[in-house]
Amino acid sequence: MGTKRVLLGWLLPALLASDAAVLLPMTAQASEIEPEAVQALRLATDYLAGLKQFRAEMDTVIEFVLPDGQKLQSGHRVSVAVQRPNKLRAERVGDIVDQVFTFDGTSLSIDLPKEKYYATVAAPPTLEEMLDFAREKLDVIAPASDLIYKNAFERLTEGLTSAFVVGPASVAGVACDQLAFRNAEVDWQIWIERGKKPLVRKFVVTSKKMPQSPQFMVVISKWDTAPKLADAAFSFVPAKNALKIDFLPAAAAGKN
Amino acid sequence: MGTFFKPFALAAGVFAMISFAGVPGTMLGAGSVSEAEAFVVVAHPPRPMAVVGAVAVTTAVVASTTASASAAKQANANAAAQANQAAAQANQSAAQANQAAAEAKAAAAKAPPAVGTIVTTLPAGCSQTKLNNVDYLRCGSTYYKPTMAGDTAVFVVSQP
Repeated sequence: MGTKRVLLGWLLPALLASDAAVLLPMTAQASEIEPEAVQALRLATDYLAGLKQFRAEMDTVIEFVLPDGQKLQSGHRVSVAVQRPNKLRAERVGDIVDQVFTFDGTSLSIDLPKEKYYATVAAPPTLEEMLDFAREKLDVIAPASDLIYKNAFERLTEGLTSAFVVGPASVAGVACDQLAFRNAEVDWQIWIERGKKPLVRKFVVTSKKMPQSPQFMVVISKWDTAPKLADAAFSFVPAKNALKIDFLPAAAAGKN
Repeated sequence: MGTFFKPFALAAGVFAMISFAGVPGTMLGAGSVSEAEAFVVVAHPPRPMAVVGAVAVTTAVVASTTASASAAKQANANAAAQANQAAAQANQSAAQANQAAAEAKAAAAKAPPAVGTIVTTLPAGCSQTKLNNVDYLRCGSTYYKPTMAGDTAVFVVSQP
């Protein structure tokens, strides 16, 4: 499984400046790539890439398909703080896991507070390199990775086969524009806040080649584009009774 | 993705996600999905929390050739975990998936886990112990070394 296009970014930032795109009314599904949709996505990703730091709170839902076709959902609350170019803290708490990721520009730590285990490893010096390293060497994918990559736009639009503007929509009361995209593996939708800040408010990925086409959804309820983040927020200090464990090399850990 | 679906179609095997591998990230919650409820999941979105490029849907695992949830539930936690690991190593090859199923069966039959075997849940009655400055969990006569696999803790059968 190489790293190709499947786009599952989890947070696809897209953004639609209020006056940037001409929105079409609910249109029939298009098989072409509308420049307006791509442009709106570009605005959102550029906006995020340009933020020196940000914090976001979100809720995620993932579907699992059982052998008889029944689908189950599982939810997590995720909190992410990013300071470019080299700091990240992300917490993921929910039905299935309870994790804290910390990157201080030197090392990456994963803490499992419930299990009382943690692992720390030296990591490359920038967010982008660290994310690549984590994925390739450790089989770790940090929450909100898609938001963090500066080239998120290129990553998300690789292999695009369709793109269109669905129209105005509301996400938890926030006025947004909804965009729909397709590539060979997945269909995805993104809701971008209208107004001065083209923030991603919702993101849905449909894995159309899997049985029952399970979906992943994230709704970002809170954005802070100018948070006060102290360095300490990115420093990992293990709990006294936590046990340090080693990472299993990615090859052994599994897939990718 | 192809490599994921191919075995999926071929193997009578099913991608069973015994520990919800793959949720927002990767193997989720191994330890948290206990022996009590081992879900057999045939599909889930590929690493949703992740980034583009991480195509792996593959923390999913092959549990058994019959793919029945009830069968999976019958297997004990170790069996499931072993199948999980075996499947991961099988790299989604159908043939190897079958092997994983066989291993799951063997484990279910209470065969002692081989050194190097990785499980996501421990049997009951384990205690923490330190040998040569290394922490282990001792369960009966078997030693497990807690290890981080992706963003999840797993336990590697070890020979201290």
